[in-house]
Amino acid sequence: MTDLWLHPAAFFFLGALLVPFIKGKGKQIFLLLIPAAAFLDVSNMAQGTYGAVQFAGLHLVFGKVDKLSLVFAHVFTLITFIGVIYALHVKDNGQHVAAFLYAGSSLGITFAGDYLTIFIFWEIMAFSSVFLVWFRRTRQSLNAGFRYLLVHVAGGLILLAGIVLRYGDTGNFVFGPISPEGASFAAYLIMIGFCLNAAVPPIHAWLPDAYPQATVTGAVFMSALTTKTAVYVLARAFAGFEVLAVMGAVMAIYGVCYAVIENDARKILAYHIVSQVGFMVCGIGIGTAMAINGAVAHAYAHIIYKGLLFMGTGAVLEMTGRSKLSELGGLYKFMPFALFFTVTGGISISGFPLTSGFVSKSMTVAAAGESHHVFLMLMLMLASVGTFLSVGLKLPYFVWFGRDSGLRPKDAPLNMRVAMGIAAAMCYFLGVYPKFLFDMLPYPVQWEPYTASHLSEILQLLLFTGLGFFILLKKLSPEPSLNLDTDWFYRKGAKAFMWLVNKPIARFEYNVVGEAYEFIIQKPILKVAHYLRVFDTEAVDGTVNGVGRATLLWSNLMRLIQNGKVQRYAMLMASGIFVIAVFILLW
Amino acid sequence: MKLEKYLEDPEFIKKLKKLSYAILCLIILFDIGVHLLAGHTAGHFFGDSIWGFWSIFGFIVCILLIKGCKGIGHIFLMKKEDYYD
Repeated sequence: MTDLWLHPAAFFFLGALLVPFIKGKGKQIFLLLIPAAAFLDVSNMAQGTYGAVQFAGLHLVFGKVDKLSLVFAHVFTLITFIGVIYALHVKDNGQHVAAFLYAGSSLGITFAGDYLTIFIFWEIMAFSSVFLVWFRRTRQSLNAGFRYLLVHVAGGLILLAGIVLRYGDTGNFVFGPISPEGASFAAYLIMIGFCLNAAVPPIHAWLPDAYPQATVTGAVFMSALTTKTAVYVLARAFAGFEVLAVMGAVMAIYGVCYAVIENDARKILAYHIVSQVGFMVCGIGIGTAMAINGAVAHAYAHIIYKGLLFMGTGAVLEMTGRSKLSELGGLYKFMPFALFFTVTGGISISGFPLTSGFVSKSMTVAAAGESHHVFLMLMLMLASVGTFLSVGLKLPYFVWFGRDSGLRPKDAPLNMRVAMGIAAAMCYFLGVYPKFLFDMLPYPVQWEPYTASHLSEILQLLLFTGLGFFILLKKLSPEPSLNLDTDWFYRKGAKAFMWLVNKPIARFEYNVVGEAYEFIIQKPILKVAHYLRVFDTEAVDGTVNGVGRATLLWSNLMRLIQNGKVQRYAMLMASGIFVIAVFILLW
Repeated sequence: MKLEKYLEDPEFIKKLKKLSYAILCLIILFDIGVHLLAGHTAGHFFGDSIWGFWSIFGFIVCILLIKGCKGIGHIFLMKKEDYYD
């Protein structure tokens, strides 16, 4: 406990402060040093409890380090490093500051030992990440950012309500596993707060609403951090909650279905975050050691390949200004690097052998099978089909092949290609050498991904999905459309509310409430005020003036006596003594 | 560029198609081999004992997803892009 422990978030918060002041050649080196230092800090961190602080009678823990927090911190700092390489060409200081604050707060959550610390970083995370949307500087991104913020503030309040109620029940803020048996109302409020950030339907619509509107580089950080910190806190607190297992399987399919009809490449990826996080939430809900391992491994692999996918489609957006499939096509001659890297991400997310998705996704699916959740397992396999269909086939096909859009872009700048190259290499490395990932997982792994039957299962599933895709290729051709989702309720709801406020309520207010106000409140108040004024002038002023006048009169009287002549004082005293003496003698 | 020449050559596309079908057949043969040699002893699930189960599952689910989602989408989910403006 006494040895020095450096919170990796400190690097990012300090870096965010310094970014605007560093100029010239050294700036890019500085930007890289911050996540590199945090990554090394996490890599060499020993388990234990650090940074316990007594504050205003509260016991706060900033550094609860165990295997679960370490594996998440490892991948958070790694993807931030890759994301910073990808964003090195960005001149806008604000984006770098927002990304650093965002990454720092996600690490703050990862190492937090109590709910208050979590809540503080939870809010910093929402308020820093929204700038990655706003800095796109379009009208749509401004609006989407506000919706994103409103939803997250609402979620934060639900979380806070749960934390406070829980404190009332237990008398502490300790953040740890909650037993599914007899979990309190407060625990479920906390779970809802966490689930909002994990984008569990129906409270998921903020994600496909905001992420596609984020900046090219900002989306890489967003795809990695918000939902996966939520997965981390769910894994620590709510392992084994059956409701999560069901919701997770539902959301895995939900995201996949929307991705099939979606036209915007980055929106397809956003819906696939919902779907992939579904695998993790399902694993957490199943709650066996193998399922938790699967969820955590999948989070690790997912952060890398989803970052890679957002980088690949981001490169297309950066070079062509477009992200809708209906406006793209035929780019394979011009952006072959982006094609190769996006397809790498696509086969990883689909779980092809020798990629990271193969070893991580199937661990969750196998855990569902082994714990006799056959129906959940089938739902997850169904989602796997949809994943390959949309991200592995549809997205690359209609961006790089399909019809020729007439676009002739150059390939992405060097820093972007380097970042994509590192992420792609990680995807293959984890697929070929899964032990690297398995050794970091919270429980020991006794599971071998590369068996003949498992290879056969996955290859059949994916290759025959490919057959279906090419048979129905025409049906899948992208259509420019806007697809309704649960954000309809607050987007149309807000409009209905504004209409209600502007039309009936305003009219009622003006005609009825306004009139009533005048008769019931305004006029009586004026009348009372009038009486008060009369009372004030007559009674209060009269009294004050009277006191003044009386004082003046008394003073004038006293002046006659107190004239400063000593003889007269002496005579008065003598005559007084004389009167008293006569009085006493005669009595 | 070489890739371009190949992808725009109808002869090559035909060959590619034939190769793809051959791979699909091979993977089913591979699955039958796995069943005969290794055998699915775990038996968590009825599909584990059917030859080529995941081929059928993958193909049918893929068709259903495309038809189903596009169908539901056209009925009420898909709106004009300026719907919220």
